[in-house]
Amino acid sequence: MNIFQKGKQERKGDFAYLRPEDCYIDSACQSLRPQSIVDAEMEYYQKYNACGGRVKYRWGEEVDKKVDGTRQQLLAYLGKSSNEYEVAFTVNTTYGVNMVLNLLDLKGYKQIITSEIEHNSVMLPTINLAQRLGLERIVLSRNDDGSVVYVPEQLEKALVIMNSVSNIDGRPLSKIKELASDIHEKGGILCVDAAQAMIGQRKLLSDLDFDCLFGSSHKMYGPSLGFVVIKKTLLKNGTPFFIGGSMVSDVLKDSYTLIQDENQLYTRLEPGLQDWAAIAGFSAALKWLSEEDRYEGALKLATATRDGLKEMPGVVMLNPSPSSTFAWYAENIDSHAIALMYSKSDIMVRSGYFCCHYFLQHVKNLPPLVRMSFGAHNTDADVEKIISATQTILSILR
Amino acid sequence: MFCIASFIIFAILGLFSASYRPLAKKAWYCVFRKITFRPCDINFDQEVKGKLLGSIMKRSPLLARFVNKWSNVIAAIFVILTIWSLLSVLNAGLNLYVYDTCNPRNVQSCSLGGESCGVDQSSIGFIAAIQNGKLGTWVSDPFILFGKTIIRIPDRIKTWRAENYLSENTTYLQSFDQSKPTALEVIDPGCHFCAQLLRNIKEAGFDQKYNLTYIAYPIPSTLYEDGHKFKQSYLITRYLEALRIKKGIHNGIPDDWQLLEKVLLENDTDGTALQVKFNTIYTDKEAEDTILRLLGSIGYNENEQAELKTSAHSDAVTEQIKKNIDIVEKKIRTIKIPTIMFDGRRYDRVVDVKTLKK
Repeated sequence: MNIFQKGKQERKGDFAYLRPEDCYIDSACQSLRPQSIVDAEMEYYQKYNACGGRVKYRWGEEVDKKVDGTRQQLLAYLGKSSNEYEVAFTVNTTYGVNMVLNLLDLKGYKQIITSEIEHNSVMLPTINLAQRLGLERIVLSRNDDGSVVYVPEQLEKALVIMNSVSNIDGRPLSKIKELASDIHEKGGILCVDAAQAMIGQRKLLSDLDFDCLFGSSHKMYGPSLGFVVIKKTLLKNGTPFFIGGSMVSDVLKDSYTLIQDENQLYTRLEPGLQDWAAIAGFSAALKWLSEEDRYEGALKLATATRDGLKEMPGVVMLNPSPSSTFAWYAENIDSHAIALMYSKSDIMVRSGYFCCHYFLQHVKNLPPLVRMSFGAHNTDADVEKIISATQTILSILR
Repeated sequence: MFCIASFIIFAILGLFSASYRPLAKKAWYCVFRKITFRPCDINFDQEVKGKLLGSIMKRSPLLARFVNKWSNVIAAIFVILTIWSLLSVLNAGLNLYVYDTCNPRNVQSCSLGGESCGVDQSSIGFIAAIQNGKLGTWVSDPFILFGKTIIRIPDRIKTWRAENYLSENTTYLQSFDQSKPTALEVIDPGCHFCAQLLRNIKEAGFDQKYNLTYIAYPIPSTLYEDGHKFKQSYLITRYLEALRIKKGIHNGIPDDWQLLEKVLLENDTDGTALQVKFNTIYTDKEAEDTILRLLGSIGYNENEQAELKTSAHSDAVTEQIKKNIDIVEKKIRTIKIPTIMFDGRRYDRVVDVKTLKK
């Protein structure tokens, strides 16, 4: 059997719609949607396709109910209380980060702190904000286990924003609870980019006292949608820079009054009409994720694949610890060429620097990488196919 | 080299399909970076190579390995062949413009040129060059020919006046009329395209509008023992020149024209064209006997025929033919027969009736 006959195992249940030969290994960017999520989104379009917010007819009320329910579902998923936190929907994580950083009242804050292993969605907004506000910006280095290298004094009145799991290779921000404690002790704020952590590190996030958390539904088997989970106090004191529909209780000729209702503070991050269908789909995704552990299977397959690949001559793995996402490169072989050749075998992986140019290119001086990130749709056949195809590709390119 | 090869391929495909144009653009960017000694930051080589190898890998990993190993060499060969082909096409185009044939070495091998009999140029083949130690000649030959072609470009745009290229003892098909312009054709009595041109001339009434004359030029060739492309052309030319020297006229038409028309247009008693028989069937004696028979039909008695035979083989005729050859090869410099010039233009081909009628 050659590599092209392998990996044709039928995918059952939630992912039965996939072609057996399609081997999608890019869940860190966007996880595939189970049928129930697709159906939920379709249900919105077919059964209550209307605007939410201040609508008095039946369909609109149905939308409001679904959206509010989804906010509650997300808080429940994270084990957080709606008394303390608010959930706002955004376009994606990058939007969420920018919206919040530009909303926060940072008077009295001394510095902005981030880490070297950050996605550009965190790296770039912090550069901009520091320049705009004239704040010192500190980029902390991280150990191989993902923990941050710092001294507590550095955290004095600091806005700290960093990921809890790296999108490069799935390494977690270990000792994050201690970090949060140190930040709060020094009067700072902790914003967590949890885009890669929402499935695999759910418990860690539940136990974490974050001030603000950013994530993406599309990395949680849901539709393309971002969200922010933020403490109400931050929202109340902030001034939204992006304003418009659905945010105000009154408007005069030259002034306006933002909605002050404690239970509607999310409106400060939700200008204009929302993607109601995506929110409905996200609700279904949260329900689907709560039904059973969706991470263990992907982790097992990723570990098996990584173990198979790391034995191949010239293959260098970045992160030795188990994760559903890992990155590697083969010495003297272009990773883009590998990805392109994989693609011809219906194996879809990412290659390059995954929006982490600073760390990979300038700190580590690494060549472009191949990233593999598994999801609930993957099967044993995928592992077999990837290992076989990799052996063939590397033998060709050597 | 790989991105240059990619650019060539995508540029050609882009001519036919818009979907390849962005790739061609990307490849050009890469080529431009490389020729300006800057790194190709989009890594286009790897991108194309990856896609190509991925496709080949599905059929044969072994072949993909081979292509990967030799891809740069394959790309280099491809680029060199493409550039060589491009230069060949441009050279052929230039030849077509200058000579009305894309291959002056072998005129009739080019279907794009007008119908004609070629005055083939001598060239040495690769194997013969090696055998004779003339590899240098084989290499330099195309460049010399290219140089000659460049020098000949002005010929295409100059005004060709037939009066400037007439031979001594020239005769006109119709009586010379000063009010008519002169037209000159260079013909070989053995060339069937010359027969075709004469038929067109007659059909178009061209000979009525112009003072039509000719230069008989037996096309030289190394193929035959007597050194001419058509077996009896030189013999017929000798008789034509002898008749011109004699200035004989029967029925108001110069005798050389009458003989020429018979050779080019008439059939023998068995229905075979005389021209074909001269070219392929007649021995030298049969050819000369036939010419004498044709002269008899024009009105020459046996004594006159004998007299003409002597004249045709005389030094004076030999000398006249040499002069005519000089005009054709040094002044007109044609490599295609027939060549006809009238109204300031020159055509190195059979001219159609419509053009002759204008």
